[in-house]
Amino acid sequence: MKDITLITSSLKSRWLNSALSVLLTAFGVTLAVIILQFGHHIHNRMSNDGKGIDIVVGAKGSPLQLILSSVYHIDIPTGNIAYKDAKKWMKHPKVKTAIPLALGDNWKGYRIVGTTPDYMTHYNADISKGRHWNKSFEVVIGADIPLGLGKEISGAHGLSQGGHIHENEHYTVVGRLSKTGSVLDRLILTSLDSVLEIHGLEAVESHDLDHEETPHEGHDHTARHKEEKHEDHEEHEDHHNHGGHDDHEDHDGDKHEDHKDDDHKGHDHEQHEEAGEPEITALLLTTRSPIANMNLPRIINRDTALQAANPALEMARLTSMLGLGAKTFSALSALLITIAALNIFAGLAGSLENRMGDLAVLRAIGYSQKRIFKIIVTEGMVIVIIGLILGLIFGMYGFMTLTNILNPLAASSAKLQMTNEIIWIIISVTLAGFLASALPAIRASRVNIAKQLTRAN
Amino acid sequence: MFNLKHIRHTYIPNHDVLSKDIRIERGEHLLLLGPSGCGKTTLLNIMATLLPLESGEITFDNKDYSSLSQAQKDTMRAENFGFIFQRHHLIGHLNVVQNIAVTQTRKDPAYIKALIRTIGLEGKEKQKARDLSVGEAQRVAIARALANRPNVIFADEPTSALDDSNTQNIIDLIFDQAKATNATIIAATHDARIKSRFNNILEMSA
Repeated sequence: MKDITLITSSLKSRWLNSALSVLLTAFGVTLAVIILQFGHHIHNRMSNDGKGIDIVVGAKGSPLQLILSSVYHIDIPTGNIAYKDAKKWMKHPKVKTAIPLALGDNWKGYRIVGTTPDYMTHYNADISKGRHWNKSFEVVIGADIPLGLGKEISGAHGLSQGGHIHENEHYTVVGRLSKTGSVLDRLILTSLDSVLEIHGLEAVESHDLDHEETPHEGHDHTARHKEEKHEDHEEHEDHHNHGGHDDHEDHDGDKHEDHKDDDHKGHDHEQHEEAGEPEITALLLTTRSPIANMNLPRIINRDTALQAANPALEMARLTSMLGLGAKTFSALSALLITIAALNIFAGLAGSLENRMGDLAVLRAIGYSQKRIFKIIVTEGMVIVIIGLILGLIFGMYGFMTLTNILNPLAASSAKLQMTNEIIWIIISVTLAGFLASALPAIRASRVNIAKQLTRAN
Repeated sequence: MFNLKHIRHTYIPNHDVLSKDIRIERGEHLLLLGPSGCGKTTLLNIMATLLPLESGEITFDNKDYSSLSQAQKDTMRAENFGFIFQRHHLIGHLNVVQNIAVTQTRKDPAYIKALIRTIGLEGKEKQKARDLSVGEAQRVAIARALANRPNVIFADEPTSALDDSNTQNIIDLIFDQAKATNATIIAATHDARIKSRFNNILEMSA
């Protein structure tokens, strides 16, 4: 008789126990797969989306909210900031690149982001179809947006589905981006001016290009020669403006475009609604040195009404607060797999006592110790393998289902990925299952034949 | 075939099992007779390599037990020995055919079929061993002991659980099958009912 007949028959005879062991293993693996995929996804998105962004500048409020809203596009922004305040930092000598973002509207839950083409460059996004926008109300869509070129859309107010719709203004899709695997895939990008115009604010890009770019380039040039001094100077200027008379002037409400360059005020945005002065939501900065990463936010937070936050720090803070670190995920998965292995062990070891007589008979009729060991281990491994396969299937389907029903996962376009972690799950579960069955198997193979066969019951 | 010399086994401390020197040729049978606790089963187990040989000398087909490895003993049992235990010790979750087939080192379904006919269990081939009556189970156990056409059949109290008429049937069955394959029967019992069937009797005392 083949050993496999003996094994399947034995498993069937304890079918309830075997089924429970299979299910427990499967659930352990399922949860491990989901947890690790989730962790992997979070880690990937965090590092991909936040890559190369050293500082985010926005309105005062929670720094984490600022990061989540403007880097990851999952929270609402802390508020708006005056474009002219932002511009000062865009031109700052320590700043290498600056990407302004203007949020406020969405189309079917996809955020419409007013920005500059630098935003696409930052994420290495190429136009896969169509072209860049070259005037207001033209949009370039991310790879995941279900729209075709030439389609017209109206933005709805707010950042999630179902706000008031801007009926009068329509955006036209002129380009589609290639897939980047970043937050860009789910954004609708347009010029800064489009977003400002639709909210009744003055355009900024024409000013930037026509009036300001040229003088500023000269300015930058000098600045590069004496960066230190320039920074000191600006800092001083900042401090001076804020501590001094600005507040009074602000309340008078007599602000005009002409003053843009010398008036640097923190509270501008409070009055912008009436004044129609340009506002943006946030500024993504990369700096020229790691020291600037530390210093600039300190200066901005201390001396201006703006807020600066460091994405890496904030996300590290978030993950440590929620215990979302890779270690937590691994520990949790290891725990689940251990429980599953212990259950297999309990199942085999528990039934062993009743089977010692059977095993002694097999030994007596000439089954070697090795063969008995193999039979018991195979019984355990059959449970492990079935549980593992079921668990992987459940886990993958489970994760895919979760990505569809859980908004944060859907919004960040979480996808199942064959990662090393899955291979680790397979290896560790198999190993744990082997160990769990090897111990009872060793005991079984060492059964005292004569004693078992003559015992009274 | 069997040659035993100076066998001594410490069953429990200060309680040694001693055996006279024994020599058995192929086809001859041996009955170990004596009251409970006299060491019949111990001697049987030693001869069957189920217990290690502590002192003395045993050879089977000129193979010296003390020179055999565990694996060699396993193979020797598988190829040469058949066992009828005190209790039937069938594997409960296997059916009748599987319980018999478990001893076959070479597949021989026709012989299993013939054995099932001999023990009168036709039609119950697929029945699980745990659902058999005591008498049926004992007969299956005998079929199992014979299924690999062993050279030696070890039978430990094969009839202790049976009534007179079943005892006669079982003994007939064992002897008939042994005769058919020219096998040696080595039985241990305190059951005087089967004494008459053996010509070699080793009387043991406690």
